[in-house]
Amino acid sequence: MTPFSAFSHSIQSANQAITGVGLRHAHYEQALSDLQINKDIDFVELHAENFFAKGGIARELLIDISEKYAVSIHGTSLGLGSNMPVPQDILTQFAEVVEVTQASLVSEHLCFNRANINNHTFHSGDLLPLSYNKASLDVLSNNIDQVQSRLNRPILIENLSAYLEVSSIDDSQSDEYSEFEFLIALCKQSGCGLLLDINNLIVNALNQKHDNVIELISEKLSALPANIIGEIHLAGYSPQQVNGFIVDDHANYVSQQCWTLYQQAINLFGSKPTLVEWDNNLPQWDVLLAEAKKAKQIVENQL
Amino acid sequence: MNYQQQIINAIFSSSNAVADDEPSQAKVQAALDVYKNNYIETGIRALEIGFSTLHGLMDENDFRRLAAQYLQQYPKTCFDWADYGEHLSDFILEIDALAEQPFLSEVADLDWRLLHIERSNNAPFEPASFGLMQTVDPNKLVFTPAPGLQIMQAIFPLDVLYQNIHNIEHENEEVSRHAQKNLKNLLNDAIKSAQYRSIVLWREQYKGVFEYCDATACKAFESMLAQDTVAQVLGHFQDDQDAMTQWLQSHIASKKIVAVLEL
Repeated sequence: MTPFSAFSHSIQSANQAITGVGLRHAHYEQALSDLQINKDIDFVELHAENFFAKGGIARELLIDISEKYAVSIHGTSLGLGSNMPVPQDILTQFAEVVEVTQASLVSEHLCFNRANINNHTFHSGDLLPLSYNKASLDVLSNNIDQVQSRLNRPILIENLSAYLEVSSIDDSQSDEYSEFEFLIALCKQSGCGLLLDINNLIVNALNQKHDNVIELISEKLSALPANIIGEIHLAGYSPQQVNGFIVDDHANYVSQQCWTLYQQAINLFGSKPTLVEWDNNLPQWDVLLAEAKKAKQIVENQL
Repeated sequence: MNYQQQIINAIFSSSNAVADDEPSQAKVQAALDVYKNNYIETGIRALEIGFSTLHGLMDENDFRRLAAQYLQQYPKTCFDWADYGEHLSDFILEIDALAEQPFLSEVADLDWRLLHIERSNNAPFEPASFGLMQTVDPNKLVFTPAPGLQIMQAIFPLDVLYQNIHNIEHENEEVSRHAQKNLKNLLNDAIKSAQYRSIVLWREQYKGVFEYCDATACKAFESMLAQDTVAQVLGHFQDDQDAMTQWLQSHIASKKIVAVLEL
């Protein structure tokens, strides 16, 4: 299997604009209705953990949604950079969700989320930053391999928004790679692809107080090989800061910086399946779909 | 500790992880506090969803305070937030400030059970299977209970408390006042009597539901859950044929019993 057969089920992107939205509980009813606007989206993204229930309405919804839309399954809890493997029962639940939906895309994050302290494994429930070194690369590759072998398909790994550099906690963990060097090496070593989250790049650059966010990220993007990118995420963020940080809360319209960089990304990489994420302070369904339509128009104008 | 342990430890610790007397270290602590805050806020949201009756009955600030304390005392050790909160009903009993609402612990227990009933494995309703009871020795048959069916004991009027939050929209203030007064009386009566009553919980369609049941019915349900034979389950009614028939018919009709299987 090639790394990118993950995208070959029902989403083909070479010469067409493929856009979708993150589907959250508040929008299920409208998403499953016969609204004409629902035809404007090509796929929806579901968080795998929302469908881990063994029975009941969650499983029925999963079937209904996947009968109506191509589905992207996005994991938020596997924590593949954690210094421990994913437990088999959790992997089985994850794999069941992928199988039931016949997911067109499957993705997780470049992060860890749990650690063993005093013989208890504590879960942060968050996406925590990794050091970009060989040790992290090997842990991630092993865990990604575990997931890909179980799913019998490659997955995508999303670049992270992070508020902390690991070396500031532990100075023995200085980075041996830049973020993108690390991601490229990871794709090569594990056979996974990259889910390029443009909003995460913006949030990081703003929190690091860079003077010219667009220029900085443009430069980074130009160093990425197009063939590793399997999907793009777009989102916005709340302007109010927490402890001096902009928080990656997906609680707003896609930011203007994000649209600008998306246009550049399409120029560089061609059309890629693109998803608008909006997880908090949810808008009306039609507002969310209008954001996806805007992304589609950007791609169509450039094809 | 490696860096992953240090960060996780910092998120779950109530004190600062780094000395923040230098500007660079203060920034690290501020970043760790963002993660700590994310953990608490995400956890509070998860508990609001999982414990919706409890949340509805409590003052918003009191609920947030309770949830935040619980999140600190019981660090998350599960992958899925839906599996978090098992000890909340016991934890409530330890909070002095909530002693004036002694029913909250039982409400939390009810919420936790209903949540997990709604997520439990499906068990299809097979009405034709009940025909086996006409042709096969009941010592060689067992009942299949509804998904998540279970029994709990409670002192407080959980049915009224639950309806107050989830079902009833009072048409006018007078009706609302009457319901509140009635609820106060029911709660006072429950405190005075301190009498436990049995409740059967199960999943109807997709929703976790519950109702009170008498002692004999409760024993029959417990026997069914212990996978006793049909003969043993129905034996709890002894010679009361009418009670047995009524129990069986009504609980097949309400789909608390979904099938009969041959051993």
